[in-house]
Amino acid sequence: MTNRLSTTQEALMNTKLSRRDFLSTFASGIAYMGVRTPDWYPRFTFFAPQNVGPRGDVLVCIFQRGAMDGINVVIPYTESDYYKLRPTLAIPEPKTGNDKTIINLDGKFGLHPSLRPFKEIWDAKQLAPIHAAGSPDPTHSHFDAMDYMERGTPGEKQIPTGWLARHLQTVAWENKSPFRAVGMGTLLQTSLRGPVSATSLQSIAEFHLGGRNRSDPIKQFQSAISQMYSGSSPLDQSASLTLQATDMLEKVNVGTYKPANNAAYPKGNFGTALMQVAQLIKAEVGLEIAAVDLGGWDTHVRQGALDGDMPDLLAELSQGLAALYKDLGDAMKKVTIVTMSEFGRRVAENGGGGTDHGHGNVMFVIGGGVNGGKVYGDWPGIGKDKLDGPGDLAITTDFRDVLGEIVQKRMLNDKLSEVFPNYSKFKMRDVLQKLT
Amino acid sequence: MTNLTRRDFLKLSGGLAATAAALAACKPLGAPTDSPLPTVAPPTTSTTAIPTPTAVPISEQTIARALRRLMFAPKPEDYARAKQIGLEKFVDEMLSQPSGDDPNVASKIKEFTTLTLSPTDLVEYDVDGKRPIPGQELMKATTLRSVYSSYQLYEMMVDFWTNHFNIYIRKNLTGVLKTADDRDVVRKFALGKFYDILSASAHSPAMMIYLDNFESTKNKPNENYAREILELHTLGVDGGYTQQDVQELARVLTGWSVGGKRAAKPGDFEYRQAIHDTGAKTILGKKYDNNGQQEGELVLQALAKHRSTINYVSKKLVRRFVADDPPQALIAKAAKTFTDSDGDIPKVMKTIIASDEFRASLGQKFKRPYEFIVSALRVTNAQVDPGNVLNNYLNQMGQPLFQWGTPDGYPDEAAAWATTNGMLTRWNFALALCNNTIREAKVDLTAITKDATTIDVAIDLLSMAFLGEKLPNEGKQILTKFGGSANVKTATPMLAALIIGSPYFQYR
Repeated sequence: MTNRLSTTQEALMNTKLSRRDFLSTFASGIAYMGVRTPDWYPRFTFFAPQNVGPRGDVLVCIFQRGAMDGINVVIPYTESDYYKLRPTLAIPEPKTGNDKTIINLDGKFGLHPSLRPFKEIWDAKQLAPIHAAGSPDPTHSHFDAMDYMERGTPGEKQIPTGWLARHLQTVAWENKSPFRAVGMGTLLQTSLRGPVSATSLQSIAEFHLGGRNRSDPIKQFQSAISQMYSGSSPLDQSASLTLQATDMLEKVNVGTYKPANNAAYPKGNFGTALMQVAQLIKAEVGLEIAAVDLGGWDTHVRQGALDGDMPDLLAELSQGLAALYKDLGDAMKKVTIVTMSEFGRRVAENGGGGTDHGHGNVMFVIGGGVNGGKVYGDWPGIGKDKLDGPGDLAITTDFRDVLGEIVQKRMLNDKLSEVFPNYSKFKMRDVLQKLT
Repeated sequence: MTNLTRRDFLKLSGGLAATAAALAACKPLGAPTDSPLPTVAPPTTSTTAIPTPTAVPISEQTIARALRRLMFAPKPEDYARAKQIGLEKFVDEMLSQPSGDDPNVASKIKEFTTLTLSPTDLVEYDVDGKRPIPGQELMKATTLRSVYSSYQLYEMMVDFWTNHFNIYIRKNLTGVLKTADDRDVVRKFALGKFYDILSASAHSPAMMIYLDNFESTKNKPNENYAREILELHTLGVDGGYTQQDVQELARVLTGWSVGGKRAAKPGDFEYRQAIHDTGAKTILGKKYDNNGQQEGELVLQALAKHRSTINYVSKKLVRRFVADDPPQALIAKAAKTFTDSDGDIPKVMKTIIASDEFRASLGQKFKRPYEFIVSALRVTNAQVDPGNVLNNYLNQMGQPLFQWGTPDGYPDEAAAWATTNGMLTRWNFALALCNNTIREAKVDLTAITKDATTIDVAIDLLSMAFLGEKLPNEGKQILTKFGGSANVKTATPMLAALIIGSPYFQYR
């Protein structure tokens, strides 16, 4: 366990703040003297009696809502059935120099061309797709499937907590930061619901009480509010967390944030959310988990092959995650990004230029600890006799195998049976190196 | 750590109806420490007899809190009337108010011409950039009705059924057809019989589109509506149906569709025999022979009467109007009334309201964002002109109108709403509203405090207006200290904002 304590003196001399306990009473507006740090770094120093933040990786969990069509994402282009079953949706085979064709990965699978930003990460061996993955429950209801996946309990509705909340509950360390778990958006993701503090955050820039410039009346208002919520009920705790979070974010100057390494986030909520995750990671405010959503994947009609709704989403997804990867730079050594979607889509296209609900799908894992450069999973094939149910890709890797491996190897939590109750046959595929 | 059951988790969330003893100790669950608590027997999960409420005196505080539970917010005249005629009679009055708009509201929404359009007119409505948009008028009217109608319990029931039969207005034509659904399904039957609202919903073109039933055919049946009608509208997930039942019901409902462009009534409910699966079906052990649309009608009748449905709907009503973790004994009582009265919702509500569990739970149900905002607008006598600003607050808090994507409707438990983002937005809303900076909701709070000569009295006047009772000592002290030596007029906006942002105002 590395010692993350730092004296004021050391902090003054370092350009990068080490982690500290932001809840200490010394935290507030003590100006730096003589050391130039980027404007937007928290500008306060104090004595940190305890560590804050994960000992393992920060996890960025991306949920693609609506059921992404994995077959057109990591494409099994050497299977003739792909072209037979998708007369209008199939992407042309890889052709060097032609960027309107599949991006070859390993001679058997390739990426949809709109995922070009992923290629660099693939080449750096820090991106791993896991194919034919997903939840074993056969439901084709978005509502049920998302619920099952976020609770980490397929087929079971009685457990009300999310898998991420249960992970935080069972890790071996304490972290009192209000930014321990952040759900980007207005409604906290189900995966983060449970008896742990989680902050739902729409916008760092807007996350303040009563306006950007804190007048005295607002400060007094905050003080009175804080006193009224000083008990120990869940509401009191949530309120108190909120105020701590606003205090911390007050110091983060959003306007002047410039992503590192020329990273360019796509416009829109998803890109903005990811950029804010990067800001929180860099500000070392104790972030352990960030949950980000990208919706719109339910492409029943006019899905689009090379152009259209789905390619647009793929571009947004890959541009966003590639920007985050670039922006974080070295920090990616201790960050893992994982993507998931509630189920996949039918292998055969339907009559409306789209695809119906399916089963098996692709998950991506990106990070410094990834054993990249390989397409993982036991590929079941998409021949007629290999399909599941009404014509879906079968599942040969349970999504909990992937998440469980991340939790154990990167997030240093061995209590997998508590994070994923009623599941024990974890089949880890060595997608990741163990963090030491 | 063992898996938390739902019950445990909700205990952690403070959602269980507390015993009288717990009420005394709890904070900030609305129980002032300096006023006598009603001595009511604790809720029991056994089936032994519970002492009748009439043996217990009903304090003014209890009356005030009961009204705050049953209305978006009571006005001073409501508190006065309830104290005058007694809580029971006041509740009876509320339950027998007409279903619809009171004259005050009617005049405020009469300019919203899209509200009265038929489904056909709605789908053929030409939004050419100048004419009002149906979905927008619906959202405005809904807010105005909630804020201004004196039929408050009715409006809360409208809110309840809107969620029970949830429709997301951003899916295809639901954007315009929800206007008809709101009028012909929810508002028509909110205080009627359960079978009627269920049946109306099953014939609602908005619902047929939202849950994809309109394109369910005998060759390609779509299970979505069939599944949700069993899981969410009637029996409930544990109600005892199987996947087979879902598929059979989907077959029964093939043909329950919506008129297309060339239909006699485009956009309206239309049954199509040509796409109906004519084989025999068995659902929940009952066989339905080939009989066209009548098959579905018979299934709806059976579902409305089913014991699981009665329990499930009762449970949801108890959750909405009593506690996040609904007491089993009260569910059973409500279910009995449901059965005996053939699904008469006002009668079921009366049973719930008259119960000890209801009484014991007062002041402890966390307000959802919509309730919070509407209650704040009501108690401040705001002049409301709903639009993007109010919608944005609702959106930020997580409850934009008619925009919950999945058919289960907005969650009804504190954990979903008492989030950091949610609380921060509530405080910012309170600040903006009370400082009169929300152009869509103008207030004049000094009208409430004008007769106060001291901060102390001003705080009392504000809390009587906002809560129907005075703040507990510890809360009052905080506000008095905050007010300091400022004059009443200057201090009023922030004092008001503090009460609305306080824990006391977050609960009903």
